[in-house]
Amino acid sequence: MWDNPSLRCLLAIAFLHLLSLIYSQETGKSTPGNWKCITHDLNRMICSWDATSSANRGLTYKICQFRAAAIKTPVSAVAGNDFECMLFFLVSFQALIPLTPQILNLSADFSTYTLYLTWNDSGSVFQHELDASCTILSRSGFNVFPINYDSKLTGKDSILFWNWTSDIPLECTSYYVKIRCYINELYFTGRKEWSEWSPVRTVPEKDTKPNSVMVFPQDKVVLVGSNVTFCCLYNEGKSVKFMKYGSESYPLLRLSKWSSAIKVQNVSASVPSGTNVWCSLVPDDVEGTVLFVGYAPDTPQNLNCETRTFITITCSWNPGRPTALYSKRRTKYILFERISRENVTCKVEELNKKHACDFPVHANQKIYNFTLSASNPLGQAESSLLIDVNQRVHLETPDKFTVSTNSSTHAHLSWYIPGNFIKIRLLCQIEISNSNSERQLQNVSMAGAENSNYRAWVDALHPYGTYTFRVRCSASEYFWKWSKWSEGKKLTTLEAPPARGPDIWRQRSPVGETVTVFWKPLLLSEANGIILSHEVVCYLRERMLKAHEVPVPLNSTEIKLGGNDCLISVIAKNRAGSSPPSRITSVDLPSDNVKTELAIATGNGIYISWHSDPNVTCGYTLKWCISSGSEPCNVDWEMFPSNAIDAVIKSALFQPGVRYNFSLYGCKHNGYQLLQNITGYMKELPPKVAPNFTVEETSSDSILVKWEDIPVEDCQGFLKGYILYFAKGEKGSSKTSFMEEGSPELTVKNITDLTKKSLRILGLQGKTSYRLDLRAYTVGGIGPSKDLYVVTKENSVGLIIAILIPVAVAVVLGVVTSILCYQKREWIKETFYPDIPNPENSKALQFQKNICEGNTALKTLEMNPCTPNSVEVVETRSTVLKIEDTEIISPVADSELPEDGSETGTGSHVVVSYCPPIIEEEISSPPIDEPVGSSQVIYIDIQSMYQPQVNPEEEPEINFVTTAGYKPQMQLPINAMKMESHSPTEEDLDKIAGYRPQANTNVWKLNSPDSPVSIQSNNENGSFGSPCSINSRQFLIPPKDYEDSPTPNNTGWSFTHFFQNKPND
Amino acid sequence: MPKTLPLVLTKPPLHPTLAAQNLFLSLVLVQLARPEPSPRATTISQTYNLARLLQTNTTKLLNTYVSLSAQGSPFSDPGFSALGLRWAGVPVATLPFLAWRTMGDMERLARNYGAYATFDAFLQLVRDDQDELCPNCSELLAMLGTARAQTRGLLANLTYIMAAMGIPTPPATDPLTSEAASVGAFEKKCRGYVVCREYHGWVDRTVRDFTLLKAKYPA
Repeated sequence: MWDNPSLRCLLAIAFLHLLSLIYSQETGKSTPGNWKCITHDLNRMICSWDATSSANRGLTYKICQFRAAAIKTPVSAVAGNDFECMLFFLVSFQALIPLTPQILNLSADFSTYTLYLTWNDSGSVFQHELDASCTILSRSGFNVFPINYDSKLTGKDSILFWNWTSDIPLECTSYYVKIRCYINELYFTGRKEWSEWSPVRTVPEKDTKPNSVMVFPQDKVVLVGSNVTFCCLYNEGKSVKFMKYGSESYPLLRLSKWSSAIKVQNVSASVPSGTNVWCSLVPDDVEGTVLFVGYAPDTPQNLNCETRTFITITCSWNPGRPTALYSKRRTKYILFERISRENVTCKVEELNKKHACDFPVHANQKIYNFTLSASNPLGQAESSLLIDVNQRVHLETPDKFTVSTNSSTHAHLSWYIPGNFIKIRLLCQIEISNSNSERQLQNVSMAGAENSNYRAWVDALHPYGTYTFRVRCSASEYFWKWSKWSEGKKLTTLEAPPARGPDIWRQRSPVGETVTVFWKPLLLSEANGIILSHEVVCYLRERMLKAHEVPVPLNSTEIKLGGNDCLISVIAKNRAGSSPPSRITSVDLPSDNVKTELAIATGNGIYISWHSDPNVTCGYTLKWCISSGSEPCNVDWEMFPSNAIDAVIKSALFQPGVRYNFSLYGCKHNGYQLLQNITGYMKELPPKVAPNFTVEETSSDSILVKWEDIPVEDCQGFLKGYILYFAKGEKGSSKTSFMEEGSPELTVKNITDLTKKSLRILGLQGKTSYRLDLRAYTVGGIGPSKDLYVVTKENSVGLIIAILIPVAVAVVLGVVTSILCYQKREWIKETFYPDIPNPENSKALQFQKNICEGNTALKTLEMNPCTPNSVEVVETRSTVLKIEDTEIISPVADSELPEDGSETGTGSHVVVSYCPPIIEEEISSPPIDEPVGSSQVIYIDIQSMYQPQVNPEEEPEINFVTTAGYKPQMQLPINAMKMESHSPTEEDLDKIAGYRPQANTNVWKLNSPDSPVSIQSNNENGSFGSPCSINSRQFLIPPKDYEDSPTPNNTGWSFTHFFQNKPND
Repeated sequence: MPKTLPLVLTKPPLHPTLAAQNLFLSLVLVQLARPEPSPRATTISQTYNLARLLQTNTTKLLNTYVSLSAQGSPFSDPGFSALGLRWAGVPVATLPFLAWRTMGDMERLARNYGAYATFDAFLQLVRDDQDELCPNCSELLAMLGTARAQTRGLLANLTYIMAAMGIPTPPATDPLTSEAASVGAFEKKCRGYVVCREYHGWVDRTVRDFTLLKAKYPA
């Protein structure tokens, strides 16, 4: 280590320095001022001192190089005065200052906001490696960014690089860069100082004062979520009003005197035309830029490559997440094949979203290793797929598909598939659909060809069948996908002779002269074409008697037998030929004792069973006939083998509720024999109508009901019986059925004996209405009802008895009474009708006496009926009172009674009714205070109940109203008790008081001296209703008045006084 | 000159309503192709009708152009009107009234022709810009295409009228250079806006011009 010359040198320098300090002091001469030595390379020293002092003028400076100093170069002489020479030992390395670094280049990448700086480290000036450190100072606008850069000097010149990325566009402001360095030599004892700053370099090169407004960055594409800074450059002197990102304003950041910025964070995806960023300046200027915000391309998904023609391989994929970038910023796809190292640029149709790319198939290449790379300004992604092209064959849809035939069972098919399939075999699938939409698939394998037609044929078709063919294909060896189905083609095969003869039956006429032959039409699958006619031939011992050609659609024909039976043969014919013959004999074997049995309805068919007949060798035939309307019935039949004993007959023509008749024939070796008749229903229903029934006979306790059979066509099933409901009920009372009513008296009779046609209902009540309801029923249910109302007859004997018994009793009682009376006539007479009545003995009087106990004035009671009389008032004051015995006058007439004089003069008359007692005996002792002339008269004091409530003078009209007319008697006691108070309110009470006499008793009492007074006259209401009040009848009118009267009146009580007294009020 | 008119019909209709307008335009032009006793007056009248039709379309075009989906804010902001926005080369219709009123027929027609010849180029430029900026804006693209076709029809009419009046047709010039396509996206949007706005203004002026001419040369 000490061998190092530098170290030795340094030690020497240190020593010399010490000496120089000592020597300088001894000489007494001042040393040169500001002596300073620096080195840039540790090899050469540059010393300098201050020589401007006048004291030192003319001095010659000589710098000596000592031996001890290993330093070779530091020799510096200063020419001076030749006469004096002073020696100074001024030895010192004061500072190590590296050379000023030289910036070679400063460049900027505006798109990435990156500055690139290169400089020379000048390492060659040092002999050995040294650590160096540089400071790069960059400044943009008001901001300064110092950055340290450490490097190692290697003894050679090196170009050093430094780059720096700004977070704002480089265009926004100029960047000033300078650099200085520092040598970090540990063993250098002097001061180590930074080099001088390099000259400043600027990016952009000229310190731009913009000529016009500009906004940066221009049309930049960034990722969603990025933070972006936009700046607005403008001329000095202008100012920014606002800066907006989209429609939103952001706070301005001042970058320089002519630059402001906004910082937008977490930007979201923009519309296709980008988000506008604009800067509005004062006074009126606008500039802007557009930011496109989107995503980097997603990894292509579901990459699928297949060939359709073996000419190109088509790769398709799903692009995944949309990038929100369009036009020139959209995602670009490149399909690269690694084996052939070929790539294809894919044209993606943005509008129809079809992402597919075609790659050519190479002749000798089977394996393809595809890589699909997607890229846009924000990034790229890729997806790979390795395929064997032979295993990825997806053929095009077969084209030009044709079908043809020249047979009844075969068809030829042809189709075209584009592409070169020479190296593979194809598998094609033919779909055959018949008219019943039954589908059948048939696979055909065939060798591939190049752009060729492919042919196939199908067999086992049915003659005269209509089929629809389609075809699709795939690779045979490595199935990948079927092609799409070709279009469908329809074909009808040719006709063939009918496959078999028709089913036949024959029916002889009742006489037997003719036989009608029936046959069933062949099924389409058996006819093999269109049946044109049937040939019916009658053979007699192999000799053809007669042939009938019967055209369709007839399905029967009549053959005259001429007394001979024959073998009938029927052949169906179509355009292609004739069917095999169907044969049947016309012989009918006689049958006797043929029974008719009932079949069982199964709901959808008719179950028929029969007894096996050992003589039947060639099967049974069950024949029936279905009639529809008025047309003759259609014969139908079904054949069964000889061992069959039952069958369920089904037919689409069977209808529920319709009776069908079947005939069972047995085929014997010499002919057919009728074995059995069967009748039945496919489904039994309730009878359609109600039985027609009538009441034949009615008595007081029974009804005889008769009914008629229901017609067979209305039964809709086998009749099982009748149900008769009856209960009491009036006609028209209720139309609901018995069952609904739930009548408690409902009686139900079930008649299951179908032969019975009448029924007597017993135990009924006489003269009572009954409701009858008769219904028929089958297995299918109960039919509708029919109502009948009937009334049982009256029980006459009971009525007679009920009349006769009371009459007889009455007669007997009468007779007994008569006899008794006769026998006791003397006693009766003595008791009830004595010749001389004895009051003592009078039972009646005794009775009366008890009643009138305390009233000694009454002696007798005359219980005469009340004979109403009338008092007719012709005039009031001067007119004669006319009183008639007549009927009771209506209250209306009474109400017309005048009460004041003003109305009496009108000449109207009033008839007043009253009920005078017929007095046959005078009262024995008159009352004491009775006035003279009236002492023998006792009035019926009905008037005393009349209570005048108001002064007639004050309110004559009201009184007229209130006092006239009938007064109800209900409130009589009330009024009587209130008489004395005589308050005005009592007027109202009077209006509603009970019976009132038809005159004013007050008037009588006060103004008429002749007014009648009751025996209890001191009490105005005392005598009313007393049974003891009447004992006399007498004229009420005094004799003088009576004389003035123009017309005589009958005797009796009169109201004349009332009217005469009125004017005196 | 009239035989060149059908050229404008070669562009296929892009929109049902635009197709109807094109049909109307074709009827007008077919009418022009027929010899008329007073062809100048008739053509002036028909040109007036065509300008009225364009007046409606240019309003729709401007509204569609500034929609949010097409250009975004601030163009789509309610009440957006950058009156100070200009673009070099885009004809401006504004003119002092007296200068416009006292203008001679020759100058009036020549200015119309010059403006629409310029708009013909600018409309194509704007359509290209929008095709790049907003490929999904099919309605706007269709309207721009139609506007250009109708402009060509108007130019053909003007040519016919000027020829009939003995006014020489200005030589065909392409006012744009290829550098016009290399501006920033925001500038393209601004340029498109200015073009649509001034085109609208010029059609208004043409309607007024031909109202005068119609009165001067009654059919």
